[in-house]
Amino acid sequence: MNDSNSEDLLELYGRVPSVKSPHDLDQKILSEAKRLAPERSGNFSRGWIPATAAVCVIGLAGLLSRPVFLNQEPPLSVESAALIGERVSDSEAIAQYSRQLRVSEVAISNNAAEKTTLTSIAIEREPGAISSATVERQRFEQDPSSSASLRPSASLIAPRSQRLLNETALDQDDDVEIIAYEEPSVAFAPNPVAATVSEPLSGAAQAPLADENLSESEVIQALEEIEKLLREENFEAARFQLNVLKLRCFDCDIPASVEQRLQTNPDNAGPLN
Amino acid sequence: MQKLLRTLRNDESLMLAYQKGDSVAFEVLYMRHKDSLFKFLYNSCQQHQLVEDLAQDIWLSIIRGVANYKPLATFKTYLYRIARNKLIDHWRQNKENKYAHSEFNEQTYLHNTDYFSAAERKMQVGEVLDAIMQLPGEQREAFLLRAEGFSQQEISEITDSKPETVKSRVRYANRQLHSMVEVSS
Repeated sequence: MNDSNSEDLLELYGRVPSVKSPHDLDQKILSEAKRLAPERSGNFSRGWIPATAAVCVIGLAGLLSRPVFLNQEPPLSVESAALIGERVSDSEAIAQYSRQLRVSEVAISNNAAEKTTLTSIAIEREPGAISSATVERQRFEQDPSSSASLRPSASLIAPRSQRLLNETALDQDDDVEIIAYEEPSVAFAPNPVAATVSEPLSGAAQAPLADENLSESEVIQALEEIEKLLREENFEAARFQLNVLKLRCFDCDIPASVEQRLQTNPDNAGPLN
Repeated sequence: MQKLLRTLRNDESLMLAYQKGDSVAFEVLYMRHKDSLFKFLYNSCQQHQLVEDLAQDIWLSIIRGVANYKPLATFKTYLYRIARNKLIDHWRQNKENKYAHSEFNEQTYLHNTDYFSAAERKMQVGEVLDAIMQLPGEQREAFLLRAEGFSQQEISEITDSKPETVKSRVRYANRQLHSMVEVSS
């Protein structure tokens, strides 16, 4: 039998009327197919898995790079550079630093004694300052009026970490208002009583500053500032500046005339430090 | 639109899509093969109710076994292999032995008087089916599968036979049917 005859037979078969599947049977099978269809897992695999993977990769990258961030020092400002003992050579920066030495201060609106207590407690957290702070607190408890209610606080001249510690302690008290000022003002100039800063306390305050060396130009500038204040008869501010200068620079030669003028002025309330 | 896009896909990818839960893919697959399968079943046994039951049984077997489906062969081969097995199961259960033609002998077949008496009838197109039904089961099966477009190799896969055997069956079926046509004409 050749292929042409075979094709004829297939053609003949193809002409047999087609028998179609009944519609009811189709519906029945298709509904069953939908009912028994496997759980569709495409949404998760197509959508969530890539998203989750991306988040994981980003998170991992963040974790890997984090130590780098942790090791990075914050950019130094003039203030922070000075506070951590870095030398500032730029003249403008020196001027700014000098202004800041005159300082932004914490104002106590309601209760000065409270501030002193808080400051003492804050200082007490500093290693090596425990004994002096305790002495200071005891002195305050014995005679609140004579102690350092408005003395130049240790927080003012302490390094940045100490200042932050003090401010944190102050922030915890609702009655204490913290106000920072760019320029000094008489209203916030230290009380002459501040000069009675006890030896232990001043030692505690000086300890972190021991390695700070003021440049000659800084000393000269500070003395000029003191002179200027004396000319303006602002003895309180001048005394404050002088005390700060002494705290920051042990070896500096303070002109005797300056000290004499401060000693002889009528507002003098106590010995110079 | 989704259904239209799926009509462009081949049977195997549709089946794999249904394996992942895409019931629309199965619908496209079903619509593509339902009539040819139904025709094959009908021409194999010519009992409408039985064909419906068999068709339902076959498709449900595919649906339930979709998790284990692997595209080792074409889906059509897979479908008709299941169909053939269902037919054989049915005939075994009902003690019909329409497929038991292993004793088939060409000479016996060609000189069967009953066959020639039937073949002498005037052949109409619609009557071809009667002739086909008179073919021995294995030849009828091979002829119908060939008519459905399966290659010799595919038929051998569906029927678990050697390709040479399939070739012989198809040849004998064609010869008999051709004789019937010649007689009628």
